[in-house]
Amino acid sequence: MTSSVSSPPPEVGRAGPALDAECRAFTRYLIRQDPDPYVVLRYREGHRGIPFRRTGQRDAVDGMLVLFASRGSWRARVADAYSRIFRPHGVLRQKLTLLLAILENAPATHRQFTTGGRGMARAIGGSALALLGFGVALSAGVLLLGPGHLVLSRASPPR
Amino acid sequence: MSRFLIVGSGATGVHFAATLLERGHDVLMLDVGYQRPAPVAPDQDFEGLKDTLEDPAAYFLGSEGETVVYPGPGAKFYGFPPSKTYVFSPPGRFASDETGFAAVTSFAAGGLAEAWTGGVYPLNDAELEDFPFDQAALAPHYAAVARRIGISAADDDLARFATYFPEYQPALEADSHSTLLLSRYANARDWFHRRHGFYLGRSRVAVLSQPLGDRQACDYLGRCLWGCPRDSLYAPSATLRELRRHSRFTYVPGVYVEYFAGKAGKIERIIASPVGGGEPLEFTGDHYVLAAGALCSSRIVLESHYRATGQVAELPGLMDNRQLMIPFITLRLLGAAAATHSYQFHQVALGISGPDPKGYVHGQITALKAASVHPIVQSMPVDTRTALALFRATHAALGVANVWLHDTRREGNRLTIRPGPEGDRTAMVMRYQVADDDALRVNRTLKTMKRALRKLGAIVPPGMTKILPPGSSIHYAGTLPMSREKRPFTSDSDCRSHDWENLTFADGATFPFLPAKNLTYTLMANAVRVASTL
Repeated sequence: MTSSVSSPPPEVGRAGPALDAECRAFTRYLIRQDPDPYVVLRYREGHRGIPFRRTGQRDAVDGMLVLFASRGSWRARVADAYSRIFRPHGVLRQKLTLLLAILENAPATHRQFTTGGRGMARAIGGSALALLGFGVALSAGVLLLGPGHLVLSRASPPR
Repeated sequence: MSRFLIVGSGATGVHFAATLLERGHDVLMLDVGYQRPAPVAPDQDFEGLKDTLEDPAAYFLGSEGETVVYPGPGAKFYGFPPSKTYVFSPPGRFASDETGFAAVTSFAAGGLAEAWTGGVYPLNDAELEDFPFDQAALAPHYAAVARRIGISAADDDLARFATYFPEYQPALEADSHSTLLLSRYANARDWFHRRHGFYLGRSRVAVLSQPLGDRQACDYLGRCLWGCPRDSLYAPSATLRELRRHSRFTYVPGVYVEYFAGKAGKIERIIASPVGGGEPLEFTGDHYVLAAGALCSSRIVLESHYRATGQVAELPGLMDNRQLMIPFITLRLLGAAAATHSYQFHQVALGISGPDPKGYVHGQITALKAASVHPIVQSMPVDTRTALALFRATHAALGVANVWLHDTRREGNRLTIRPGPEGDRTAMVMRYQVADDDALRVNRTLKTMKRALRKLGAIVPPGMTKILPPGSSIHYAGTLPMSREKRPFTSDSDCRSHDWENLTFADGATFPFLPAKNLTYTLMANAVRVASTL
């Protein structure tokens, strides 16, 4: 498959390496594998239309959450769980949604999103484990990110 | 024979034109007419598209991800495909301003029904009580439309609310989820009827289960949401294609109708602007038909009135169905495989009857196994990886019940215009407030739906039900109603304007009441009825 993705705009181009690193960390977090070049390119390209770039709504808390999340898949899960509750429409959630949308349509990864009929017992067990993981990640997020969120929120004007 | 000038190529315009041509008239159709892009890889199924397209993300999400459903208060459970953005693109001349109403308009060849989900449900006598004709008057025209467009249906419990016509084709193949719901309903039919007035059956859909003309039968590619590549799901552009082969039919795309002008209650010409810019154009005919959709037809009338008198009028009675979106999980299907090879939009429909037959509640159950994953996953109240795990476990079990409530004409719900400086670029202005009993009806319906779904073996996840804002169901009506009294901005029982003797309205603007059922089938049948009188 050849990609026909055009060159990214200059602002995205400058942030390219950081976006690529983010893309790798977030892809490992979401589907436990590395992204292929098509996904990386699409992720960069997708930042042209991502809401926070259009609205300019991004502050230091968003920066902290994205930076923390891009340092590895476990950190990404902690930051995502924390964001889901305390910053549900923030930049990190937008980036993860963009990546998820790309992965579910990319040739190399889309079949991971088709359910394979693993049976009810495994489905329920897997869901229970995932929910437990969410609880752990959220608790870790409150401990690790909560204080920084509080400090940065007080230091910067409300959005 | 007369020369008819029709504005708009949507569901009503094309069927009005087809009937006029059958009766030997000449037809000129004016339209902005944005065109549907050619279907890509027509033989590929939903998954196959992702394997074979050069840039599948651009196809499914847009080149810059413009149809990604990001987290936010207005996020829906399914994204809209880029291949259908042409349906909702407005021309530069068009502007609107809405309060309490999220209006959607279309300037596509084929109109809004280019992006519909194909639900076709004839109205019954109770729902037509406020209309100046009954179901018997519409029945032959419903049948005529069924022959033209092809409707798949089953003669089941829903026939008590929506007549089953012999012209219908056999129902489409049901997927395992729909089959399970219908079988559970069949096992407790009495309970549903007696306790809740709840009825379930196969959807009536404008989708071919057998070939019709040059359109092919549905072969379950799972691409319904993304644009049927086989034309099995009816769209008015298919009828427009047929009309354009007719020697007495002339199609003029690329023009935006501004207003009409005339004197002594008779229209003499229509003035339209080329969409690409340039001097206004004039078109003339013996009889004029507005089929631009309830909102845009009303705008043309208001603009014409303003140009003629210098006065801005207001049209009361704007209606739209309140829509509820209720996601549910059928527990028995947890962990089952999700089949994308099926008709995607809705295979099961429901009706809830109450003491007042006009208060009938209508719904359709959508499985959408081949819809985007990310809108559902990002809406779950957990982190994305957990949400993905939950989605995988529940994918086959997920469904969404889309439920509509009826609406009535109310004085305060108005459509008007706001002329721009020096009279150019008039904006369409809408104000809408929900009915006083809206909350009561919504809550009662949600309660019934939750109980019925529970009996069907499904649960409704807390916090995920959406009550969509007015305007969302895109069933607009009521601004130029049929009226026995000869009042300004009303029409007679054959939808002829009481103000202009050679003007007929073909769309929902003339409806004096808005039943809960999907409106398009009745709009088409009424257009055929009215055209048959001319």
